Amino acid sequence: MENLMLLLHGFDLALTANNLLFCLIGVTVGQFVGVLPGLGPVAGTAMLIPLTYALSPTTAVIMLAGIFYGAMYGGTITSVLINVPGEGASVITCMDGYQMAKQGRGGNALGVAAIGSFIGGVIAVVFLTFLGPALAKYALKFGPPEFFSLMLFGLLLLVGLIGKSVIKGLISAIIGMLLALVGQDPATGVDRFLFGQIELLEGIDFVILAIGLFGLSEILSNTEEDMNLKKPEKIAGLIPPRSEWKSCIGAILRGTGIGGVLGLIPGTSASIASLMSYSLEKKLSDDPSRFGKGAIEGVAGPETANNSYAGAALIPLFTLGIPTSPTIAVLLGAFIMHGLTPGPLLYAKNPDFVWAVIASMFIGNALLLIMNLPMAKWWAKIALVPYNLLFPLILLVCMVGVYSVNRSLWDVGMTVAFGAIGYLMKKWQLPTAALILSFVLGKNIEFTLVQTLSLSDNGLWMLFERPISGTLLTLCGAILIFGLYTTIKNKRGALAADESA
Amino acid sequence: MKQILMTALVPALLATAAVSVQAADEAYPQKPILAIVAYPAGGGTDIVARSILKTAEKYTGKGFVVDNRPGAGGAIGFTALAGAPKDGYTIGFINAPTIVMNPIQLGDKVKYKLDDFVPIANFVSDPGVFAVSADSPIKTLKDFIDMAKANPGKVKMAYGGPGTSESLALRTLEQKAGIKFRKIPFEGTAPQLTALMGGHVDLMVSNASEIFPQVEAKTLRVIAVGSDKQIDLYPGVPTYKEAGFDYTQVAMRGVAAPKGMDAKQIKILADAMKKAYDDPEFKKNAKELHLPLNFMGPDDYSKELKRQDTFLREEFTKSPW
Repeated sequence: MENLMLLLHGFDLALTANNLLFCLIGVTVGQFVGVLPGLGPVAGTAMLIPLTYALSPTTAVIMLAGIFYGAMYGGTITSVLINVPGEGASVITCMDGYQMAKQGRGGNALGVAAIGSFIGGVIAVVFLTFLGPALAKYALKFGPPEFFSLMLFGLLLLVGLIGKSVIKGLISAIIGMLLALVGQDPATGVDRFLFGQIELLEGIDFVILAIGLFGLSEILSNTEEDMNLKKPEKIAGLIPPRSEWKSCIGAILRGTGIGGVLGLIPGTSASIASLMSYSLEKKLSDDPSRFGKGAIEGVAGPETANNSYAGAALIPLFTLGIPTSPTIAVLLGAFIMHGLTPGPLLYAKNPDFVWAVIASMFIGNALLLIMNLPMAKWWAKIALVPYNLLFPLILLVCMVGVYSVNRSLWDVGMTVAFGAIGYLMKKWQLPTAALILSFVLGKNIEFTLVQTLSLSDNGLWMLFERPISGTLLTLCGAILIFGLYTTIKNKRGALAADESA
Repeated sequence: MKQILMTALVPALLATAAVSVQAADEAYPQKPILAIVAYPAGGGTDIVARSILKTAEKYTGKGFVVDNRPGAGGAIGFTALAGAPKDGYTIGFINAPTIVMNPIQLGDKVKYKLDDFVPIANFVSDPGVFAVSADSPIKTLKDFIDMAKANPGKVKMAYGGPGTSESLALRTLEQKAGIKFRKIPFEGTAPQLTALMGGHVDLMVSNASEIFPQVEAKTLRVIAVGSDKQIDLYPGVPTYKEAGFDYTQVAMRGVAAPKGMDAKQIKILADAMKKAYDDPEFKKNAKELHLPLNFMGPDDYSKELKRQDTFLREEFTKSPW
């Protein structure tokens, strides 16, 4: 109850004309950095930090937080319309979102993503308000062994998701893992696979990989086809048909839960949240074969999950002073720059600040919903632009986007190289999503494994001894066995059918 | 006509040339100066850079433009500084010991040498710290050493990973105290904090300014700092040396010019930086940012970098850390 009063007071502070204006600026900028490939929330927040010098700390953080969650809305747009994921959390959205856009249902996809994002974002903020502080401590129980098991779980889900051929999925996933090895060995600090290039010391940048494998390869493979064909006749509206409401709402609520819980745990990523949500939706679906061909739950769930993750991820920052993701780390920098010390004392020392920022997140999410619903209709029209105009434009935006991150031609060259690899992968029907997600997970899997082994007295046993980690690994085992069982059964079934035929 | 034009133009051109030479002599800077920061905006180095430059602007008359060139653990930005135009309008922030360690550890892959830079001023020396959670039985560095002696290879220490300056500090501690403990690598301070607060490790080594929020909230306790003298941020906390570990571990943040820049220009900038450092505005900012301040002028700074270079090369010849 006391929190409710404080929150109302927070609204009082957040609704001043000034704070409202900067909240609007923040979410608008966020939306646009999300849309521009290459520019993600990390770069967007970082670039605007210097501009916040003149603002009060509260106004500054309201604006910067707006960029963070605003980008989650924006990231959806490129994934759905041009198959370029803005950040890791949107990779999975490409799978069904882009298919929907091709069928002229881009509006539906964006509409449901905006509504889901709003619901996920708001529920996460409610969470932040009332349960955050109590739960944040529990989240610390996640140590290296737990992370390892969680990432492994994610990887297994991934294998279950990809395409028709398990073998091809595994090939992609393994290439992704290998790419994750470029950089420094976490166990020894020795650099590996640099080929003499210092630019590779910190590993391959996710943005480069995503734009190359998704954006460029899509353009390359489409140029082989007749440019004048396969345009959708007309664009469906924003609100999905009534028949899909029930499954959408279910997907949104489940996505909210998954994102909220994972956001609380420092060290997880929004990609895992969206991956888990997608795979859950596919498992629960009456007809899993629809997924990958434009299933609306495949957009609704993951897009909700990454927004609710974004809201929940602020909890560890506010309560423990621990940034859970690169963007949050930039936000932490902004706090410090404005003389605020995030952490356990923040609620006690700067209550006005905390509650004004929390209240602003309600307002910001509402602004984003208002902005996105009508805008989605315009965005969706991109699908009607003739390819011979659209592709050069996408190419330009992608290249400028990649160059802008570090102003490095090396990065541009790498993107082109990955574009070619992605093109070949499409030719050979190797799923690119599996590559990129296993790349994201692979880095963490290796690092947490090294950490676990250096913490453990008895090698890998530690992974099974710890309750959370053990449970996750048991789940992994169950998925494997179930997967094998169904594969064998289906094979037998198929054989039996063949014989009887 | 042509001739008239020439006779009119030549002296005019000469005059302009003379003026610009004179200008370089007298009034520097004439325009804003580009400052390369080898780390992303919002990071520790960037924050120091922006707050000192904001104040320094008062004394140079012209502004500074911060140019973040992150990548390869700073090597990209340092390389950009080494190869920057030497006209006085590009400077850059450098981080010792990282800038010293890169060429030693990575050899040919790093395209700059320490000699490529002329130090201008150092502002911050952020000491290394050993920290434990508030309820830990470890109260002093000696407690830790005793504990590690009694249980060889059992006590768990979170650190920044092999190849870092923390790694060298821990190696030296093991050698000097004759102990062995378990070193768990983490990428950055945040996951180290998570692990320490979650009880997954017994202690961590990091930098003073990075764990201030948790120390202030009394969830963590600092048992020793790596500077030569105790620091204001953690009053009463002994230095490594006072706690029985003869070693200095400090992360420095300062500004340097590419080699070949005019000595007069360097002098002008060094003076402006010193004034900015002494300015109450910067002092106030630094206090809010919990920055452990430590000024060094061009000579001291240069000597310190050379000292580090010699020391680190020796250690590296013994064996990489």
